[in-house]
Amino acid sequence: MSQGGSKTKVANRVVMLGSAAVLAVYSAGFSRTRLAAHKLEVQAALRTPPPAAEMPVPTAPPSSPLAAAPEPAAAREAPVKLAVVAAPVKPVPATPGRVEVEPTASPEPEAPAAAAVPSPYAPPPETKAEPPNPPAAPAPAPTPAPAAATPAPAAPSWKDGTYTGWGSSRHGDIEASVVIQGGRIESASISQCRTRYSCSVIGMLPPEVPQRQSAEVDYVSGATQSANAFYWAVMDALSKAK
Amino acid sequence: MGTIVSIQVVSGSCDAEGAIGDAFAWFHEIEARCTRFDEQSELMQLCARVGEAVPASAILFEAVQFAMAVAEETDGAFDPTVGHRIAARGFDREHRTGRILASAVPVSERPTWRDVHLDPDRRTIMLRCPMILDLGAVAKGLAVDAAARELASFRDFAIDAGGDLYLGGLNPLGEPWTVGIRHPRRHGELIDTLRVSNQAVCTSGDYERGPHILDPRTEGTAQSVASATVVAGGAMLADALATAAFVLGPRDGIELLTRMGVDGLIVTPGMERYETRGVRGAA
Repeated sequence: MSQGGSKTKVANRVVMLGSAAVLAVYSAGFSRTRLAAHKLEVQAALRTPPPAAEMPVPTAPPSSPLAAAPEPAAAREAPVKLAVVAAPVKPVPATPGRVEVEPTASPEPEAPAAAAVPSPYAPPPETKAEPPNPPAAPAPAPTPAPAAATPAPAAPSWKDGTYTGWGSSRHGDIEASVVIQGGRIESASISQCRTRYSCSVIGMLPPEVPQRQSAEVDYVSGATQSANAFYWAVMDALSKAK
Repeated sequence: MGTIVSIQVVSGSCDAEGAIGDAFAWFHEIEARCTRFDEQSELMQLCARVGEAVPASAILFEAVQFAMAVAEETDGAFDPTVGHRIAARGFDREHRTGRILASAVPVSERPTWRDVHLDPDRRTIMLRCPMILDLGAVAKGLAVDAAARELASFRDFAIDAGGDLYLGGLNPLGEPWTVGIRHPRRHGELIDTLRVSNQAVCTSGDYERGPHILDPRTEGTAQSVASATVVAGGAMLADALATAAFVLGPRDGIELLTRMGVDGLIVTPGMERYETRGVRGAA
């Protein structure tokens, strides 16, 4: 067994690895359910259908936000069989990136840890389109949104025109307006904001639609409902542009 | 993981509901990938491909990588490659549902953590010989930590996953959270309470399931500790170290925790307590 000095270095490596691992996993994310509107019991729908595996989705608990929400894992429609494709496994949804919130407990400086973490965005072999986004910057910088220079993937082409669509959430509805020009998404905007909370909280999302040529905008931590509503609104608008 | 998860957010708004749902979703996702009780899980599909460098998801890769690092750090006192030996001892019944998974791995194989090779650049895992990785401790802790990140913006919250806890901020009374440690022998009693804020608390003990924590170094069950509690910045770290400390025994266990810069409390079968210096002031 080695002596104090080098052993302490290894010990700190384990602690750093622990926090780096959580950062990597959290940043990579996974295909999530998107709540359909107006229903307390969740109707789950996948935002991006996974390429090979079929993924029946667990129902989110209708938990009271204030009280403890005991959630017996056995009480869900269970066991949820997520058919996981072993190789290559796709951990990352089509649009990685989350708006990072400040971690409450800051562990060891994450700069070295982040350097040690392999990029969670290594593209799986089949994806021809989007190149990987840069790995999350170490805290406290928020995860950068995909660079504007990122070339958009080969997009399905739409019919030119301006289309609106509605998306609902528990907090209210959002109307999105999408402009198609030359078969591509020219711009998107929130044309009506009927949510209880201001739509400024998702103000960063509309530009992502033309950038990505899709409705696949980022999650917004703390504004899950509004982000979802905007997503569905854009989907609704795009469905009319076929 | 077969555990009951509860999440409490101290919040004045209704915004927490979506985040709580997302937090729960991490448990499903991580269990789906890391459970050894479902031969379709990513882990079990990895175990079926001995000798191959198998591309892994971030979740599985990070869980295995962390587990191996702890194994190396503890010289194998914590070693997730003992999964098949747990199965051989009959502990192969998924303890929530009672499903039994028969292990196809011949018991005579003796893998150790050194037989797991990780390539961070390609994010692949290769098992050099047949084995079943037991990621129960690591996966549960990882799920708690991911869930805690999900709730970080709410500042004051508590996550309890079958005794693996993360306490964020302050409790509803505006004080550090109070965490009781179950008495290893007297049902329904606590042996101690700690006050914590922005820390994970995990306990390894021989409570409900009888002696089940193997000492990977000797093949027998670990005997000299009745319960080991660790307080650390993350649950994955706390859970793995609690398991290792349980195996190492009170003195070596406390030495490990101190070396790792975390706090803890170890109770022997004779009810003697061993503590790190800072465990009382963890809040």
